[in-house]
Amino acid sequence: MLKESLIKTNGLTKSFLASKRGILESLSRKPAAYVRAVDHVELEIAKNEVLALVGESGSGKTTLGLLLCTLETPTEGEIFFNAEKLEKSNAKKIRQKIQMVFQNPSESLNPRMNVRSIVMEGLQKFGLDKAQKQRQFEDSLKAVGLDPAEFATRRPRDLSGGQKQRVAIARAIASNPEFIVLDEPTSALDASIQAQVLNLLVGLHDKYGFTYLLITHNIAVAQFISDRVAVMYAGRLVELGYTDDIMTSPKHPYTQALLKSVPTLVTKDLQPPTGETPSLLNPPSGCRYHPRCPYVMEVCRTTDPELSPVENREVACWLYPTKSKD
Amino acid sequence: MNDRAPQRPNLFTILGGLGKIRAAPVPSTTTETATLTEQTPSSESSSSSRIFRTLTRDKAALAGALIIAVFLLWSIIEGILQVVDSFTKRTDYAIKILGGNPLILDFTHSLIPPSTKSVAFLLGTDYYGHSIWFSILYAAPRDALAGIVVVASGIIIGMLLGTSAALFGGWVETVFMRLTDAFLAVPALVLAIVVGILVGTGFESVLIALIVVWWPTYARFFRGQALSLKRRGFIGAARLCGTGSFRIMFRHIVPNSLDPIIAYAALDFGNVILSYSALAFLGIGVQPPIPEWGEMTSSGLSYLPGAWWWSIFPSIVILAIVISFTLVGDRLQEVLSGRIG
Amino acid sequence: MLLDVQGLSVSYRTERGIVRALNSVNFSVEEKESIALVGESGSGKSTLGISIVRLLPANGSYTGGDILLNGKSVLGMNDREVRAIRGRIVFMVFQDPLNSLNPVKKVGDQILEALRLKGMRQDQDRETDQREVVEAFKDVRIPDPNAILQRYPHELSGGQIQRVIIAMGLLMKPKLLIADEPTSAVDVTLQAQILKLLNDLKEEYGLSVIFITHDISVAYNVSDKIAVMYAGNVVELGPTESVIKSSLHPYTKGLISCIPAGRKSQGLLNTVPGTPPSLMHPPSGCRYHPRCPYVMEICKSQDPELLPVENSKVACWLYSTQAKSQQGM
Repeated sequence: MLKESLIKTNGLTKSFLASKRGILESLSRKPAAYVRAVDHVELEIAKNEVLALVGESGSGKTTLGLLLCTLETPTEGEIFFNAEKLEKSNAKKIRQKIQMVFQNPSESLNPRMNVRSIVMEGLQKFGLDKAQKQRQFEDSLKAVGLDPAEFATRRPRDLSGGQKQRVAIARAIASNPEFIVLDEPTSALDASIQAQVLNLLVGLHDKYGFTYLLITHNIAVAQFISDRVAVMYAGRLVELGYTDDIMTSPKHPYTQALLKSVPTLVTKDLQPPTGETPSLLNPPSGCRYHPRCPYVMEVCRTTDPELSPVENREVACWLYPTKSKD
Repeated sequence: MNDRAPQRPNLFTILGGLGKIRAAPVPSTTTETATLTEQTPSSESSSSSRIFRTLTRDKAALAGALIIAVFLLWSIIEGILQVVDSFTKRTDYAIKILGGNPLILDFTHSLIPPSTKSVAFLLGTDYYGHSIWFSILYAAPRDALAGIVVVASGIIIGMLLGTSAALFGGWVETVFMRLTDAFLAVPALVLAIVVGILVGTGFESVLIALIVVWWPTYARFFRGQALSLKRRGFIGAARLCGTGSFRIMFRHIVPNSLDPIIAYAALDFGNVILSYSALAFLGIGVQPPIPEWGEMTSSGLSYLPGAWWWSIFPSIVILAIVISFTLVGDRLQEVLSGRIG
Repeated sequence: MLLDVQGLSVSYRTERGIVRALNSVNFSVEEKESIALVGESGSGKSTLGISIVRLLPANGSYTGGDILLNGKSVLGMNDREVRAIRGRIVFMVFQDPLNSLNPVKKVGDQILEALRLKGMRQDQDRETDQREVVEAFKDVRIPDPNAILQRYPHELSGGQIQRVIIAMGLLMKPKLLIADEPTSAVDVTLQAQILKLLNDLKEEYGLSVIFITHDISVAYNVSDKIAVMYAGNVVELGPTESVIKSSLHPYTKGLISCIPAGRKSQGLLNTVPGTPPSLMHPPSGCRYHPRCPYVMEICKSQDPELLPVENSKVACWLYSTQAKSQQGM
């Protein structure tokens, strides 16, 4: 149990219907096909920390992010905010402390609104008067490095990708949240702009003490900005620990393969894993990674390992002493 | 996701399609990498300047726009005068401005072919001595009003039902959409006739009949737009900001749904006028002696080919106006469709 | 020299003006050599790729220079000759694999049809053709190659489709493979698989490769030479190790230094200040000068040429002794 935990999840699961069922299908006895985007995730996020959620497409990381900012409701399991369980009754209140920066800056701003309206939208629930809202707006914009006078009346189509993302960040911080989920905040940006935005995020975190959940597929970004890393594969959390530990000595075979697949400017030795990311409709039995794992054992094929503490972190792998879910 | 709602297929939509073949292609912007968005800002221009540029480029659409402008302008003037007359009951400005009376029976001037001898005989007269020219002018405002009222109602009803269906989902969506399907399942003209018969004759009845038939297409359209907009980041951000569902609907979803719908509505205007005329042709709606283009076409049928002017001129007017709306609407769709917001 | 691009300039006509996408670009590719075109958006790298095979869109035009393929001018070819080289001598792989295949035909049928269309394998029967295709599938490490022949594109994963496209390319036995961001839209592990595959195939088939990417780390892992592009110019060109380990052009240095490689505790990332320029109204002189920390007077008025320095080439006034003496250095 982390000291000062802000968010805690218990068996968090989210399933989606694979396809819409017509009337005839519903009446028939055929069981509906579900996609388990997030499968029994146990996660804790400490106050002020930056947790990177790393995974590839189909890992469930975006869905987990949406669950944690209450934009999706869990199919099973619970989420606790400041030790308070999230339910329909307190969802609105809890939501006030959460914000999100979305993946595609071109799509995350309303094209019909100007920058001022976009940023001030988050301020409406606080009952501030006009002058206070204006000041909050100006402060937020300055904090992300944009001049309020120049940008207040601009529309998204007059902004570059980096500027749009800054506006999205300004919108997120304007309401003074405790927790910010950032979903691939720099993936759609050029390298030089990405560096500017990452520096900005670090600066804001240091200054205002937000708790970040940064969702990314970019290992270098995760390594740079995070205190801890959570690795997801096919809806399951497979490794969780401090960034330094995981980057220098990854324990889960998938984490190892992932790190060896990242091209760097240092060495030229890429060692990707074999096989492909699994279908979530028909995931492999037992441990989801077993078809691609170089260390696969019999138990891996039949039983899904649970996330268990191993030395300084948690791993879900039969190579290490672990408890089973069943 | 298709951003063009199913159009009511009719001859004029097909003819309108010809305009598209002739139209100049819209030049594309640079094809640099799609993934990265560090393009210089303002690579998109505002809708109004694009519309203006596309219209001026296409001569046919420009001609259409001119015809529409004349039609609407005249309808407004004549329409206001007709309303004034009906209130005061003693003036007849609407008729004075024409220069002749389309309503008076005058068998001495029955079935006169078109001639330049007098303005009244410009397009000939019908069996009852009514001037075709004056009748066409007198009937115009009603068609324009029908177009405006029906399309606007379609948009409003469709917006409320379609957007809520998409936003709220669940049983709300199911009920609304099944309702839409039910209405769409009945052939439009048949439904309009049935409603017309139920509600009785008269201008208002026709409008009601047309509105009943027209809203489902817009409901579908709005629902489609809303569904695709729902996934966009700014909707999620609005929810996190605590914005209520109705505000999300009217502040975020509807304004960004309008572009392709407005374009379609421009095209649809012509369809409404066509259907209105068709109903008038069948005898539903405003009754003689008040002239209606569709009714004139119908009445003049038995006098073809001899007194051809009675049927032909009103139908040419209908044709010209509907084609104009189709041409302009088509160009608008090219500019505005596929750009949500 | 397999490919020689000489002073190539390309522009696009748009509603709002003329976009000068390529500005007198010079570079060359030898046989069996792989070169990466690295640049951010607006750098012109994709334009360069498609202009080599004359695949510019309707509003694009060649405004200067030439492209020589095996000594023959590509710009001077007629349509028939261009079609003969596309897909045969030069094969292109694009970013979005799904759009490269016909969705209503089986994969196997498409490949066989493409082979026949290109006038190859006319004298072989279908079975021999199929066996060749299966062999090519094995070369690109597609599991269960015989089954893939019978599938439709939508039944395949992104990675499988990308491999199928590469296999199709190999069957054409091209001299030059141009890959335009083939891994930008795929996961890290799949990207690594494809990069490794391309490296292996390069050796086995003796291909030349032009690899277009925005990710300089990918470029480092996949090529012998790197050409760094900025705003329509090649600003640095040289062996990969030199360009990365001892970069010459200020933009290259800036680009490398802003890649995250450590922890934030070690300091914030270096950045390249400002934003990429408008290609409709590019800056005067050297297009990079507004963002360059070493800008001199001459940079603002004159565009530097790509000239040899050590074992690379660089387009920068810092390396011209004449320019430096003008500045009084």
